Amino acid sequence: MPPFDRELFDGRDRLDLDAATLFALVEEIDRIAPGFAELATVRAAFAIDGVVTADWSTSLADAHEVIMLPRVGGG
Amino acid sequence: MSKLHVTTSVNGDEREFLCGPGETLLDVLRDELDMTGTKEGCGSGDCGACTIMLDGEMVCSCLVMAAEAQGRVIGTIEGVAEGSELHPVQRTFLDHAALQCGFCTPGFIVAAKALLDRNPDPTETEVRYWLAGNLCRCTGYDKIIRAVMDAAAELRQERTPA
Amino acid sequence: MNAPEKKDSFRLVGTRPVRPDGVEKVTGKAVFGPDYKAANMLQGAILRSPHPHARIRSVDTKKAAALPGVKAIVTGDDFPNLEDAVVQMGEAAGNIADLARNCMAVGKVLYEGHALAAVAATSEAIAQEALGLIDVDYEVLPHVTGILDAMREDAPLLYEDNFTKGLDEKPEKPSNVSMRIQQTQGDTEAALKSAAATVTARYTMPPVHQGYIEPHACVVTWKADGKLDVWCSSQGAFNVRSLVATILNVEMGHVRVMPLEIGGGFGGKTTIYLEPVAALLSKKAGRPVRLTMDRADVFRASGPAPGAVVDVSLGADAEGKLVAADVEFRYSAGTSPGNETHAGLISSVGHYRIANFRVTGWEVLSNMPKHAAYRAPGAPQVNFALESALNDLAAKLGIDPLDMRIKNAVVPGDMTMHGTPYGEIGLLECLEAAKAHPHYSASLGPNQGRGIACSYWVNYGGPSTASVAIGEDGSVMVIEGNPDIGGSRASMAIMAAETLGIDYDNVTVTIADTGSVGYSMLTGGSRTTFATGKAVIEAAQTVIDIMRARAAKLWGCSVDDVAWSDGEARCTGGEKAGETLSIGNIAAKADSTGGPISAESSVNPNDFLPGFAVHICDVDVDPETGHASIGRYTAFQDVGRAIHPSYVEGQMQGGAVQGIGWALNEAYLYNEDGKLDNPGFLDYRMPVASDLPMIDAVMIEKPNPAHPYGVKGVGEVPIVPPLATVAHAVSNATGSPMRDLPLTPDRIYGLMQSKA
Ligand code: FES
Ligand code: FES
Repeated sequence: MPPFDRELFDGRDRLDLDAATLFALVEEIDRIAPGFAELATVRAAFAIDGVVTADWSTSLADAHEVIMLPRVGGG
Repeated sequence: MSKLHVTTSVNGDEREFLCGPGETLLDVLRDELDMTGTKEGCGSGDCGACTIMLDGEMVCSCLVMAAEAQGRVIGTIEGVAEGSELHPVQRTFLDHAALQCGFCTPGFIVAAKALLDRNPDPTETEVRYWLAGNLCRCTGYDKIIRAVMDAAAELRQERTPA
Repeated sequence: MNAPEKKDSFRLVGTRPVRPDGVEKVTGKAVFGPDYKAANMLQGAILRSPHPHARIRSVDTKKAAALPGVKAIVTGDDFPNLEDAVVQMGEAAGNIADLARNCMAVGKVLYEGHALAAVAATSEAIAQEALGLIDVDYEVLPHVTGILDAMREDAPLLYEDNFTKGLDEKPEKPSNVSMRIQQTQGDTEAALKSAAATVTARYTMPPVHQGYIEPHACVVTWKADGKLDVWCSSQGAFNVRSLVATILNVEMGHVRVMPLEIGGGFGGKTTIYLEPVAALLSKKAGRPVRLTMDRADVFRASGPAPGAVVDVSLGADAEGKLVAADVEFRYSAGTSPGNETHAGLISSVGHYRIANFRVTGWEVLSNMPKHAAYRAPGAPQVNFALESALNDLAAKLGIDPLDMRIKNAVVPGDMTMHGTPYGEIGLLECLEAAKAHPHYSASLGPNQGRGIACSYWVNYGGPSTASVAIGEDGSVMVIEGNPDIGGSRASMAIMAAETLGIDYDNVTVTIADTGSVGYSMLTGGSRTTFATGKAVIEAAQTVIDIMRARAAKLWGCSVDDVAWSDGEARCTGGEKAGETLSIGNIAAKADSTGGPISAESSVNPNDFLPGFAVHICDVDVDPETGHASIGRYTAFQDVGRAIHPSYVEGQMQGGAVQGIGWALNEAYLYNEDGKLDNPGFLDYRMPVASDLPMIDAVMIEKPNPAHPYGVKGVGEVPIVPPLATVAHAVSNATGSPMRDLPLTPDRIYGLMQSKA
């Protein structure tokens, strides 16, 4: 879970969820933490089992862990 | 506001312009004469982007009033190359990648040429101090200094026939 | 100089040809932001607040409007869209309403220099005179500029509705702290307690400016058909388009942004200041309007990089293996939140293997301009603290500081702070190259000291589009959307020519406007040569496939019997086997084989790799004055593969010198009245040529396997290590630790005196 917007998650930093794709995952998290989906579109990046993935339609069928990272901008 | 009528020579051409009493030569070059090769980085004499030659002396054109140009001889970056033939300093700047954004480049080239015109064999320290009035934020100066030293070497060879 | 240094099997990658835009730039013909003029253009001017914090009771523009020659006046009330919304800005996300209010204040001015009204007139002089006729009734409010001051409970508040984000629970009271972030691993406190040696210290530094020499400028025309044309220099025309369109509530397709040559950005031109104001003036006046900043405006009202207060506790075992890091940093963001705190977090300890860490970042608002990105934004501040503490810890343990780093450096397969594994990174190679370099073992004289530090920057990929088109005579055009800020046209031309098998000089590169090519994210984040390069290579490969198909038609053979090599099609089977067709031959017959030949490619790669840098610096400290001068400087960097080595070295040298300026001289100096005391290059002292030696740039090439030519980003990481490197050198020269930047002569002298 991202080290930001913790208040959305009551301080939890790990969630166990079932979702078919990253799109579905974001929707799922948004149900738990309303407002998350809007932020995620511009602020979050996802790594599926250690590989950063830009395509949110990627299947999560075999994924064990999704890490959420803040998108870090450069200069 | 009454304007002053000024006649001057710019890169060998006679030019006339009208200017307000508060206008700088830099303003006139850029806005009236459409010679935007001379840049403004600060307007206060601290960056050298506006460097030109005035009667053979290197000056910051942002510190010269336009009216002072009456009857004087001005040289700008636009006059450094002869036609399509680049000056050696211009060529060595390209060869050494001595520009990144290129915004400081006209000022550096005018200043470097002024140095080499009077001292064809400067030491690295002399080059660094001569160019200390020109700010470059991109390059860290390394490649600029090398380009100027290299141009000096080239000019010396040209001058001493083999 | 232009002789190709052939590398591996590449013909052009790794050579140093003259950049395509070079001649224009050395002859003064290139058109930069402030150089552009439109026909019948008006000149605009902006009224800026003299107060760091004040309520705007009223703005009376009647007298100004009556001045002959004044054609339009705009205030914050003219801004149509002030709804809060998080959008993509530059490379990070931000609130569009914050940005709009930064372009023009609404209700309150929040820093000295905050824009609150603008005029367009027939001349600059009239516009300036009109500003003097605008009456503003201010209710001056208490202000705060320092980080720790702004965090105090009783500090004057910038916003009554700012509640710190990122705490476990939303706080009850508003404050100037916009965000807290924290990441932990293991048990930091216990590990520190059991460490063989620890160092605990506080490090501070004021905000600094990017210092690009070209001030901000733009020309905007809001045409009668409701569409806008914008000419400006920026790090991304598409970024300008989306920000302008969103702020002004117009369709993106109705805003066309023409990129002018850019005179330096370093992150500072990833946002906008003037464009929406010029647009609104133009709409009212019905003519194009130009707005420019002067240098004082640039300092007072465009973004500095955050100042910082950083506390570090670092512990190691007796062998020098790091066991724990507790890092707490506070960054000043100016008037609105940004992205540096996240970046500070992931840059803090990510380059070492540390089992236990707790990193906490606080973002603090205050009455200073809205900060902007500056080269590896957010990394140098926290890195200065961590690397300085590491140098102290190495000294305490009696271990060579480079050896200490070699012991702890991350290698491929180790985890980033986020828990993803590092790919083919080259930190260890950089450290070993530094150790083996003659600079590291050269002897030092009296009053001299040597410093080292190393750093990490994450780099980026991101969306890019490029197209490759073949002219009727076979010439090759690359069209892309990323402003060339340091020679990237040359890299694109090299990569296109390498892929196509043709000469560098046969390729031209155009930086297109937003109406002429598909979307690209801005130039920044060390992403352009990597991501846009991938798009160029892909488009070139597609063009090769098209040309092979056309050649097959001309030969009447199967496309499988057409190979591509050395810039031409070669028939490998059937009757015509052995024949070749050049690009010119194929282009000449294009219309009779299917039409024009071109391809566009859009990519969004995520397989970028981070950059690492190790710097060594020698200083001479004058014991009489405390003045530190740089005697020798060597920068080592994992650059992936250098497409055009000169421009890679240029990034390393330029970044190092910006970092040296940050370490030794540069600082935003706010006085008690909350006003900037040094808004000019005379008192904001950036390094000049006579301050410096040559900067030796040692490129370590460990290619990125995910890029056809091995590119990693190179632009940002070189600014990170100089702060700690220079401070370490001065500490070694003087025997006093240097924990507060900048290391001006009076500060160094004072520390030397208090030690003696
Ligand atoms: S513009 Fe003249 S010195 Fe800077
Ligand atoms: S090349 Fe950009 S300022 Fe010198």
